[in-house]
Amino acid sequence: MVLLFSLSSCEWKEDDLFPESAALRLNHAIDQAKATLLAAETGWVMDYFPTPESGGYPLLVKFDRNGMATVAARNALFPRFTNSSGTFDVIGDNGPVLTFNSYNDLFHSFSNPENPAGIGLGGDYEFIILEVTDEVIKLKGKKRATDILLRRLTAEEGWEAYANTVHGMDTFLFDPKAPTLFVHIGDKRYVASEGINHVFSMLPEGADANLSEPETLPFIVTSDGIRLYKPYESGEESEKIDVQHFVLNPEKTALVASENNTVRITGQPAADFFIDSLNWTGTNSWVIDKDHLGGLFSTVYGQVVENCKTKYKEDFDSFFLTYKGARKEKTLSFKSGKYEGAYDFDIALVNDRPVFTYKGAADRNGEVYLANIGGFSDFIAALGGDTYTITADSPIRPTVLTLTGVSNPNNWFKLILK
Amino acid sequence: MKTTYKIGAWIHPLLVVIILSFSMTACNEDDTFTESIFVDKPAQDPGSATYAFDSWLDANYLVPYNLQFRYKMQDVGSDMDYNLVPTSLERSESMAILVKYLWFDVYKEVVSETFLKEHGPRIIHLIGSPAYNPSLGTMVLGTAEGGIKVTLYNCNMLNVNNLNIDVMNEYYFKTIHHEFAHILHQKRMYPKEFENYSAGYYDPDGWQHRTDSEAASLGFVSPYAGSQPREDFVEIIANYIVKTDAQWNAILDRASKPGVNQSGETVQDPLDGKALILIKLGIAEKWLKEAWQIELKTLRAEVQERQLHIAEVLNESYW
Repeated sequence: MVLLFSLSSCEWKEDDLFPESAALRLNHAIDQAKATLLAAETGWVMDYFPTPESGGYPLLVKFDRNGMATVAARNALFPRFTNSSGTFDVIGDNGPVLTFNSYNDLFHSFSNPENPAGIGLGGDYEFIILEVTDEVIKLKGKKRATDILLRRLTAEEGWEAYANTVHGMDTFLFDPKAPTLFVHIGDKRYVASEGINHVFSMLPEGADANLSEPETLPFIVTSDGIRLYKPYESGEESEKIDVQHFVLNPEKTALVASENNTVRITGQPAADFFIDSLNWTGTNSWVIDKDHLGGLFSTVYGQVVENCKTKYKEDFDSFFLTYKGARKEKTLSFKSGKYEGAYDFDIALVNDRPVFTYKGAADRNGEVYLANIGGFSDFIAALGGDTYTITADSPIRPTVLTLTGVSNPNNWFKLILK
Repeated sequence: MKTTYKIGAWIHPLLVVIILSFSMTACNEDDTFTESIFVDKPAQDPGSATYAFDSWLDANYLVPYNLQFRYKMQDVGSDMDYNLVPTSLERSESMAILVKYLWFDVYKEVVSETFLKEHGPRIIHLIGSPAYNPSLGTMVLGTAEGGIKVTLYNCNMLNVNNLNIDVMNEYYFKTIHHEFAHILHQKRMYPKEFENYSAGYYDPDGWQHRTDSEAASLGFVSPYAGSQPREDFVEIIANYIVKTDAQWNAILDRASKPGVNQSGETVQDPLDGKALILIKLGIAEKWLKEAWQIELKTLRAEVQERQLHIAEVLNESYW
């Protein structure tokens, strides 16, 4: 050993891999990251995921030279536009680390160890800065190793307007009345449920949910659609699918993968959505739109309204399709004045077309109005007198269905999901 | 000392040679230094939103006590086993004022100007959330590490709009006296005889299942005091300092009666809890006097007086 050292050349040198020492590079990386964070005058959109398994929360963040970071959001945790400030810094730790180091009511809600005690939502507030460009900063949560993106907000977008746009996209696609979604990959179709929690639970269509383990895909809602937490990969090497960002197309009929437009997410077919029991349960119902009726339905509805007025001195309110009470029996229900009644129907899909088969009055009021108010029996007969094609106002997020008679297309009515 | 010797014995002769070789092969001149890898701690930045507060902290903690009042949280400086969050700026400011008023200024007033300069911690670290132990159903209120650092948890609970000294004592100021007593006994051990009085009644794993009443009847001022002797020792000191006469007498009163457990059942024990507490308090008082020249009763009186003026202190303008 002694010999080895004593024989080594005084001029022995090894080329440095890097022009600077590790410590200097860290210092410069900190400076560069801080300068980039501060340079975004209108701030950043943060695609925040508390953990790699949880759904994402869109946040807006603005870093100021005085060391304060303002964070704003309108999301599942903050249903109204909210903002809050606290200090931040970029420190040398595991490489450059962005830390929100004094409590921010909004931002630290994702880290606060409450509900359940000791855990909470489990989110990070210190992030290793992996990559910095003027437009995108890639972060990784220190404890959970969650990948988080900061995307520079463009100057035109005001914060509240941007947050409202994202919130609008969220409620359009994922409010409690939104349909189950289908992911189309090649000739395969997958059912993607639980979108309301922003973590898709995905199964091949037709798979038994009790026997199959669903794939879970966390995602975040963006201003133009959704972004999966991680790219979704499938298929053989030659036809490999690798998608992450889905954009709502201008027709609002589908979310289309920006990396491969053959991969699409669509809503439930209109007929399936119509008879989906969720839309008939509890307070949910399909209300027949009195202002949009065609042919026979318009005529008979008019008679019902007129006769309720003359005979019972009542304002007829509406016909609606729903389960009656706790029974899982589909009914045509009505409300007139302060009274409600119902008629049982068997409603089945034949070739994706609903067929209404009248089964009788569901309650005493149903019997009374049927016997005494002209137009009720005609409306019931009209409903059962044809099969219908169904079209939705938006295939990915139907709120209004139009049912048009197959034998006589002049007879049609619209149903509004309430 | 023993550890030092052990490490020394493991230094291999070859290693000595290697070190020597390096020192003898430096035949080139030293490089001219360009940029230091060490970034100097920047002076307080007048453009910072926290400049005024940071300057106040420097003037009131760093300069007189060589103490970093760490309110901007770095999780590397915290216990990584827990999920924790920082303290808000507003509550950090209140905590800084109160810690000075109820601790540093007290010692300066009734012990000596230099006491906390010599024996106080070098870091006070504020944590916003509790440190929960969900499996045990407990939470950590504070820690003292090696006499250097005191960590206070749950600081976001400080409600300056609805001051409740009992809550504040429970979470913060009793904790401060508790942790500082740990620092003191880590430097000069309390009398070993203290541990004899409640020997056999300490329960390190199940203390949290005892009620205040059960703990007191066994001679402990709190359930946590019954976890182990050193916690018993510092709990007596901390509770005696921050509790009012009425509250202290209530503990003694509970201690003189049979304990009632969580199910509401009376639990019989052969101990005179009140006598035990008073004996242990006497030992602590004597130790503070002899080992540290601290008059416990004087210290307590000062704290009790100051506790009456917290609202006024917080309303003053500091920066």
